[in-house]
Amino acid sequence: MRFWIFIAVLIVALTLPVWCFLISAALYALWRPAYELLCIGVCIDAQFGVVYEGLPYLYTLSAGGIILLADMMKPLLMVYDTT
Amino acid sequence: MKNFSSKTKASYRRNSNHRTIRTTLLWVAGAVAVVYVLGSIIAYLFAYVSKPVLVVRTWLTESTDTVPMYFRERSALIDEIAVLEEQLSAKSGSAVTLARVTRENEELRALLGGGHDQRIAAGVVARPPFLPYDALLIDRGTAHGIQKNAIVYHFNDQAIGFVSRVFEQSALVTLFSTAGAASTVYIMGPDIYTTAYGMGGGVVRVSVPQGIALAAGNVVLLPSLHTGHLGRINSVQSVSTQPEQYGFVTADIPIQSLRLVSVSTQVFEPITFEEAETYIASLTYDMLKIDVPADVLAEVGTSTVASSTPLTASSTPSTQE
Repeated sequence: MRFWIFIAVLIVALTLPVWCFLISAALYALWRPAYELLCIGVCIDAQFGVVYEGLPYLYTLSAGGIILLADMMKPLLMVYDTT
Repeated sequence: MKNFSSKTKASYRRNSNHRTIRTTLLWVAGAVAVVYVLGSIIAYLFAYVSKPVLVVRTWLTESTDTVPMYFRERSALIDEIAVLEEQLSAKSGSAVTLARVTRENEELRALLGGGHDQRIAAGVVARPPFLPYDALLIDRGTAHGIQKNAIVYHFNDQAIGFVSRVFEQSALVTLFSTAGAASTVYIMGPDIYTTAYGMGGGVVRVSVPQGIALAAGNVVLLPSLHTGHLGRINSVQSVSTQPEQYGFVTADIPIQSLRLVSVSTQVFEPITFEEAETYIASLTYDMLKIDVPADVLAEVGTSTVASSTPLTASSTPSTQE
């Protein structure tokens, strides 16, 4: 199940604008610990990241930021409170 | 007391959170390092995964084949009467196919006919906004003769970018409009050299001092290329209190609409300023010259011109006798 959802996120990242990837990655990261999202970012930035200004790590840093935010938010969200 | 508080549940959660954040930051830093160090290898391998996905997406969203057409127009088709709907869709499908094939034929002729160097036609598989950077992914790679740093054109001589990465079956084209990309250009009209900077989104900006007659419609050439221009100045931003004015250059066709491009088989090599000057001079002065037969051309030194022959190409005073 998790593998196929990961593949779906990968396809979203490849075929839709970056904001769609951000939303799907955020949902994925809130669902489970999602370090594998970094793999998607690494692959896309490695292939398409040719820039002259700024950093060519848009997807990697976005994925990292989403994972970080999700990890920080999880203790604050009641849905994760199983006690 | 201090010992007790460090073992409470809240303290445990806080420490755990800090550890998680630290771990995540380490993963992100590692990922960026991997892109930096192993980017080329990962890109080469990932091209085998990404190209089929992007080809399917392009097929679904742009192809006029029956299946994608059906999915695209399904909601509209449901609302129509079945028999009329089939006839109508068949007719409209044929018309769309005909229009597409005609347009494609014109584009291919423009791409490959009359060029100065050998070109390879390529289809655009992915383009902005589906790619986050100002880049195109084309469906030709090393297997078809595409080389790194080859110039990419749209139609006959509009240079749009260069091949920055080549894979076996695909290649990545970085556009000249990529943010921060600098290129030396020559603006016809004011006849000046200046530097153009990519702004992203298919827009290139040239900045020149106030007082230079920059106007919309001026052709912007790339002297470093022996064939090809960058585009035309679309708009000029000039504030009299500012020391410089800006001209914004866009391609004739938006990058979101690019379907076919041609790739030069020759790798780009930098040229000197003298070579650029020679090229610009040849464009400026030779572009208005045409080959006129010697018996028609009236010039000093041609002794066979009849007095009734119309003077078609020369305005030299000595021939007006």
